[in-house]
Amino acid sequence: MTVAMLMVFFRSFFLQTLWNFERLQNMGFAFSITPLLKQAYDSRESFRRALRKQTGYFNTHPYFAPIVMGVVYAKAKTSADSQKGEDTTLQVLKDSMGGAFGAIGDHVIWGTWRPFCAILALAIGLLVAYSATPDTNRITMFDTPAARSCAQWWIVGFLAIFNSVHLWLRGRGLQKAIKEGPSVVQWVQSLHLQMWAAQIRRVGMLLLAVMVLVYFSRWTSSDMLLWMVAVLLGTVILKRWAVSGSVIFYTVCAASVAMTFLGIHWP
Amino acid sequence: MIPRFIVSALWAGVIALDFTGFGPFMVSQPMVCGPIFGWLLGRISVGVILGGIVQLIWMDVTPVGVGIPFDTTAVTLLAVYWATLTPHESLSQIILALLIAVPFGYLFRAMDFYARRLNTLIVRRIERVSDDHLPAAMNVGIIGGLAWSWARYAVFYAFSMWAGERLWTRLAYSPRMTWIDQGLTMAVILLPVAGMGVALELFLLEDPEGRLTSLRHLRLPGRRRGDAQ
Repeated sequence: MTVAMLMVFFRSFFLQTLWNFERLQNMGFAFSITPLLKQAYDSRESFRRALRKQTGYFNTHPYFAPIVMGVVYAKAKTSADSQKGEDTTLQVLKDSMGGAFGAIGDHVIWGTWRPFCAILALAIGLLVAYSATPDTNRITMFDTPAARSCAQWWIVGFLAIFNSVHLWLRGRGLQKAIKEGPSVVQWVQSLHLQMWAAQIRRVGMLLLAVMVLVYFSRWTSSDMLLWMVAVLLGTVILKRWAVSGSVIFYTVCAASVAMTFLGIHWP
Repeated sequence: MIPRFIVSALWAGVIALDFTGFGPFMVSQPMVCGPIFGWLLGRISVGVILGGIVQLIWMDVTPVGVGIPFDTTAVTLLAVYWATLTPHESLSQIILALLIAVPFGYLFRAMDFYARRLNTLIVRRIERVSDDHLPAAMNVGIIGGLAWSWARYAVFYAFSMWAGERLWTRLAYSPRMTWIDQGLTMAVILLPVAGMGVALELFLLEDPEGRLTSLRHLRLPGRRRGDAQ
């Protein structure tokens, strides 16, 4: 069982390899769950029939997919053991769990955990780079030694923090789902992911405030500080209007060039 | 001697696999792939500056549902490649490289869109095999899909790097007005601030997934004749 579980854990990283517009993650899901289905069914015929059924439409957040795989296995195993025949509720359960976990994953992982880890690593990297070269009015990241220590934090720090939760969710989720079946939903509820997301967002804002202060502190010129505050607030307003990052990027570049052309400011 | 753009494109193809092939472990995030690619090309500081700026400005870009987002990995890798072509980079040149690279984020998104249409054909072919051969067909399909993802990215990166190199060489070596250089240097200072504004707004939102799924910035599959209603 453990070997099959480890194989499913590893295979689940290929969930999106054959992502397609027709049935989304269907082939990745069927490929990943194969070792568990082999365990669930005694006869080769039943296994193949069950595997064929898993090639239907499926979509969820990739980090929550192993939970759905575990539930599908548990249900398949129960119906195979009781020899009741085909479980007609399995596809409905799979679809509903996929949709629900997809929504949770988008909010908690993509919308909260990823930006939080990024800001945390960026802030630490920036502090490390600044403490390495304490001069003011300079872009310290440009110095190679400072950039190197900054990069270490960004790469190792970000990947380690982010993937600790990612890998735990995949591994523990799969383990729990195999053991508990559809009741794994209660385990997911007990994690209070939405509440944690709200707390993380507050801490994220605090971190961001520290990062802004650290970055701004390098610039002693009051004119430059004024421009920086204007850019910060302007971007928040533009984002509220759902302006894309590309438009913001080109606007800041154009405004900077226009300012120096008009002689308004040069740091 | 293998040309620099080919070696770089092969590595870029490996990094791009993170989201489409195996993972995602977030290696393709700009703040990670930028410094790694900069280090591979011998100029880590360029990778740090570009990776940091792209990460912050496009903080809210992520693949949600069936939408294909703007490709920030391509923007970072291409900008790092072009910015490291000259022996001594200046801050203004780094931003110049990014100015050229941003449209490629949309081109790569379009490429990914059509590549996934091809995935549909591969999946249909796998589904057609008999039950006896289905597990083997899936194994071949996944390995093939991984190889296809890497190959298409490597080829597209190679072409983009080569084509952009022509434009970049003209721009980087031609004399620029002082105010343009100064303006672009000032943009290096202001762009991270704008990025912090993007992150702040993302954290202020009550429902971040509402922003992430904002259909205005995602490429969605169009309904074709014969598609299921």
